[in-house]
Amino acid sequence: MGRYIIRRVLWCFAMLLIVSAAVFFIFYVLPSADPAVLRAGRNAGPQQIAAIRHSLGLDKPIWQQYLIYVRQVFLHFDFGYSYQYNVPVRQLIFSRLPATIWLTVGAVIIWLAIGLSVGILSAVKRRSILDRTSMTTSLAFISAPVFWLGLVALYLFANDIGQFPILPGQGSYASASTVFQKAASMSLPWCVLAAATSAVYARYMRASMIDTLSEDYIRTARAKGVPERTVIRRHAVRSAITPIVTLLGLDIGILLAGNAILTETVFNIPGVGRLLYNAINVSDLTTIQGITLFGAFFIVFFNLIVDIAYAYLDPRVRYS
Amino acid sequence: MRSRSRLLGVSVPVLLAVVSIGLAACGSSSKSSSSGSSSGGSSSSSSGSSSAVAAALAKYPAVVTAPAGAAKGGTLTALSNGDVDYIDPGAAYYQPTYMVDLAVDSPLMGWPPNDTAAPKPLLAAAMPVVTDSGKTITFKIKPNIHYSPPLGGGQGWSKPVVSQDIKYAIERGLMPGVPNGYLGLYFADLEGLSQAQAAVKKTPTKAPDISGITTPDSSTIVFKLSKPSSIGVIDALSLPLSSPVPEGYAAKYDTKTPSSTYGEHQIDVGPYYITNYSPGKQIVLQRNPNYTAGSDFRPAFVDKVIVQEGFSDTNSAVSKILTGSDMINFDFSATGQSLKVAATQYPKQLTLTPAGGNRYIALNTQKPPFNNINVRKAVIAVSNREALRDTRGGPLAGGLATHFTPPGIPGYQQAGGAAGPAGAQYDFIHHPTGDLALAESYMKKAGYSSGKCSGNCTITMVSSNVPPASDTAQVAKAQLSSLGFTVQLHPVEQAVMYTKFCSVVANEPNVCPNVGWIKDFNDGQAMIDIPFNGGSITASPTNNSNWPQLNDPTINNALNQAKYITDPTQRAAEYGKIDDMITATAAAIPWIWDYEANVSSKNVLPVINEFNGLTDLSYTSVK
Amino acid sequence: MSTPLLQVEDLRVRFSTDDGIVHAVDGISYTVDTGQTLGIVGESGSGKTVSSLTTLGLTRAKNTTIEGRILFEGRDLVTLSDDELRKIRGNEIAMIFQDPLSSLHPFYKVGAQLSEAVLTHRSVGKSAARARSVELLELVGIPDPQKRVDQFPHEFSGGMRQRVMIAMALANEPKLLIADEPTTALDVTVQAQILGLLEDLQRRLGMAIIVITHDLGVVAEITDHIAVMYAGRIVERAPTEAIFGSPQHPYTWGLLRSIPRLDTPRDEELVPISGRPPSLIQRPSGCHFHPRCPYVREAHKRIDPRLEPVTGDPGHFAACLLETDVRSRIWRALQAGEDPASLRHLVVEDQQPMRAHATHRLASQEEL
Repeated sequence: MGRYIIRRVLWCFAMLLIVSAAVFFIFYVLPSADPAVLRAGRNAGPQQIAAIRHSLGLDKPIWQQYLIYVRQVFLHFDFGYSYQYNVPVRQLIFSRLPATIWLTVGAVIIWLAIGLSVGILSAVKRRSILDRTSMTTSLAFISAPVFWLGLVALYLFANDIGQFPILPGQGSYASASTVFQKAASMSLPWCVLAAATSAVYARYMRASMIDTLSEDYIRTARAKGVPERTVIRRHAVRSAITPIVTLLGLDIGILLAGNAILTETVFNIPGVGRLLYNAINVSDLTTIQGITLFGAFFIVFFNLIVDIAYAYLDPRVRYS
Repeated sequence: MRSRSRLLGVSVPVLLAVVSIGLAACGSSSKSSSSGSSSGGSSSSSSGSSSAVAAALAKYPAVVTAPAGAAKGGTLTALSNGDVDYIDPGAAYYQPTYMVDLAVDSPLMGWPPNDTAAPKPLLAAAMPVVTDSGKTITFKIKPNIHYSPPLGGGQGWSKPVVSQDIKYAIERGLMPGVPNGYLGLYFADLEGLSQAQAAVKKTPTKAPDISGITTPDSSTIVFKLSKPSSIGVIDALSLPLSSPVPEGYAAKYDTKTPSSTYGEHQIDVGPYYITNYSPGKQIVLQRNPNYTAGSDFRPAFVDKVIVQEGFSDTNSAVSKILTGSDMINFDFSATGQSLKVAATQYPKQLTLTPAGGNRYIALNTQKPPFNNINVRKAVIAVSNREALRDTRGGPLAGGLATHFTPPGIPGYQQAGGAAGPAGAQYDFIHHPTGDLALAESYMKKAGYSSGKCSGNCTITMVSSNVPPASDTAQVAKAQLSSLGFTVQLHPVEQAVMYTKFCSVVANEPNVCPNVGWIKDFNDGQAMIDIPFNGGSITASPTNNSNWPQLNDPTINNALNQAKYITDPTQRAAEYGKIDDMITATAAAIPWIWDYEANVSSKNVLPVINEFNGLTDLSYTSVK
Repeated sequence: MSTPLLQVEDLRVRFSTDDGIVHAVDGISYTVDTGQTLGIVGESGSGKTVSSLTTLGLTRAKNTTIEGRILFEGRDLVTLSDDELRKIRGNEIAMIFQDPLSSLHPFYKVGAQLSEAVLTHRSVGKSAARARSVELLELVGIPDPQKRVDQFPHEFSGGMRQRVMIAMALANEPKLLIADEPTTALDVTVQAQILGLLEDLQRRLGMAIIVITHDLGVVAEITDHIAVMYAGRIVERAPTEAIFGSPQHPYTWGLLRSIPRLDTPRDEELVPISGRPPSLIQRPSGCHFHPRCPYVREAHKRIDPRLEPVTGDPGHFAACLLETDVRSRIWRALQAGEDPASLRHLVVEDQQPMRAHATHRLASQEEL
């Protein structure tokens, strides 16, 4: 097991290098704004722009810029300065991570709770009204754009502009100081973000359960006289949940990498997703790079966790 | 003089944030101008021809003086879409940034909310003495002004403000780490400026000495100019650039590369100071404990201001402000749907102020087909400018533009006021809903016998990709198509639109539909010089703001001479004349003179500073 | 005669599906006595597994209709509630299945699965259950049971896994063990071991066994009685020696002749039964076997035979419209190596007397 982990960690590094090179390349190929001009401000003469370009290191050849960047990141954990905000990128990202982590953790808990239970119930009571209703509802939630769902939620339930003002609305995370206030400000975003995902998980879990319930060992368990509830819980769910674990790892990694951008935008949560989006709009390459690398790291890391978890869950895997 | 782009610190719905420096059209500010200048006869703006404008504005008037009985205390929350462009006052360029800066900084000159004729002494003890036929300006500064505790903690600066601090504040703007956009512009005639620019090229992390700025003693500062452009310089000394920065404190931050970090550690002298700055998230202002109340004209009612950023959906943000308490808008204004809602349901919480800005569709005069003036006239003639204005919300969003000087700027009336320049040679501008027949006649004059384009009729247009700018581009495209042009429209991000296409001379498409300009001061020079002076093209070819690339020697000459006129009436008349000359070239389609639509919560008593059309944080109070 | 341990009376099981009603079991009856072994033989789709699953109540569902009686120690299992039936499952009646790898949960240790069998029906402590698990592994002949009890199913060989399944079934000392194709997934040598184990356990524990298989070779060894099923019915039922000695149904003949034998010449071909098992939704009219029977008469296409005693052989039943002596003659001829096609004359000859015989044997053509 230890060798396996070491191998995976090395692969993680290689991946990060590849990702950073790809971002560099993409940035130079696609037409984006010129950061030196952006930074130079209004009416800057060519000399001033050139001076800024030089101070930002943008006049060096691309491969050299890349090498300098890689050295800074991997040796000094220094991601450079944001062109836009003029603060270290690392500081910027770390200041945004808590909000994204809040959002991710809460949403994960909710969507697992709802998605898995709905999926299990639907599978056990296949073709019942409960099953058909829940699958149709889940389809609706998967199809609804997150942004729209968020706005609808705000206009319905936000305590400042909603029809039924019960939950904190836009921008409430920023003004929250206690843990309870922060959690309250996250309640609408959690629900919105969890809505579509729990629908996906419900469908996956249902399919996985239906597959599992047709396995021979379920028949054996019943033949042993094990109560049906226990058959479902101990025998069926335990097997059906392993593919979900893989999905979950990826989903968490992606969310931490900033994929909750739409939710963060609608609810004005100062998280990593918004930061990335703003950075793209103003061609703040260092920030884009930094977030992408962090994101790649999270995804790779959670993939590793998932693989280890899988080995723990499925004993057959340990010996391959 | 500022284009509508905000280069850094800009996130998506940039056009929601109408940056403006405005003057209430009805307000005849000549009453308080001690310098004897009238603001270009704006007192007549409420008469006859601009009645539509005046009527709209009269329904939602802005309060421009501190209301009687305004109470001290409370916290004001300003909802913002994006961040300030620079937290460093030496680099700030963005109007909403000025909302903050004018509350925390004390430049030599300042603008009381109801007086836009000329700036008033702020840090200066009195109006400066101008000698040597307008080439020497001498200021005395107030004594006993102290700096606030530093942002970010640590040891601040306990010594009081001295004139050397102002000299350093201006000089540091030359460093690439403090990219100030004004120095080279307004202070171009400062003696020793070019030597200083050369010096900073050699040592970019040390602020150079500008020999034209001298400080004979700690309470006096003297500016020597090579040309008599004192009016412009005095105006420019109302910018945050001249708010004092002590070298002993700031130098260690100014040496940092790639940019100075002074902004994140700044010390302030205004009635407020910045206590917290989280980029992209919030800015917190609190009362400056070292500020002596009454030392200048700012009353400073609220105790605390929180600028909360990240509100990307204008409609819900405006809704939040209107239905909540203690809130105002920061860098966006009510537009479209939210403007309608505010106007109909919360009229008392909405104010409309002329923003002192224009928007136009620039036609690239340097390449075919728009290098032919008749084609350009045809395009303007066919344009339904009311339809263009509708993309921003219709009549509530601004006045229909007929030339390039908006209401409130000296030269507006002289250029024709709301109706625009009179005369047969301006017939193409007098059809606000478009006139196809007239357009076709111009096309025929241009050599297209059918009245529509034939042959090579493909033209390129680069626009912003967010509404309402993208909507405006679509309308413009349709209007061009009606003359037989095939428009290739490329919507891109705002920043890309400027820095890769429209502001790059070599790369500019045929049409740039989302450009415009906002005044820096109430002066014609601030409005039409840079955007239409041929000299801009060569001065910064990759950052060019003369989007039509107009290079008419007569106009260039006139502009270059006009900035030295000191008599206000003559100045206004001359700029009005030049505006008409520009209109006559049909280089661009002017379509709106924006109003700044500000909203506030019910318990807020907002005071709008007519200078920039934004809420003045030092005058606003909460109940 | 003592009361049989298990008495199945006229059991019918039907499934409603989208394609129609599947008559999986269509009126079967058999008994199993304590300590005896019954073999149920048939092709896939004959209903052999369904009848056993129904005994345990594992076919109960919304779309299933179960009729008839299954008396276990006098209690009718068909009418028992789910809960009561569950108390019997894995306790007094246990079942093992065909594929021991897929029939054991891959994620749980063998010991845990064994303990579960115990703990479901006995309130003992965890350690007692574990001790019992070790004991059970030893019982079925797995070496080093203390170590093996903590291993996972995939760490056992095929034969060992089947032993584990048997151990699990025996956890609560069942009175009846149902073994559904217990050796089908195993090598021939391992098959013999498992069969030997079953025999041995039966002797020691005194339990009854039902072995379900398609392989007559398997049942020859260990069964006392055999029931041959076809299309949801029992077509022949007799003590094992009688089935092998004097089979009385054409289907049984086909099964016997299709067994590979060591003593026939190598180049002699296996004789399969022509045709395929019938659809249980649309069963053939009359005798359900008639499309594949080489000895079919016209009447057989209309009349549905019932399971009747064979004259001269007590305890031997067959469901065939041919007379006993005709059948015996055919069988002797087949044993002598004759081809079924050449034996048709034996059938046709006797048609006349058959008619009188047939009239009072009116089997209903109606499907229930």
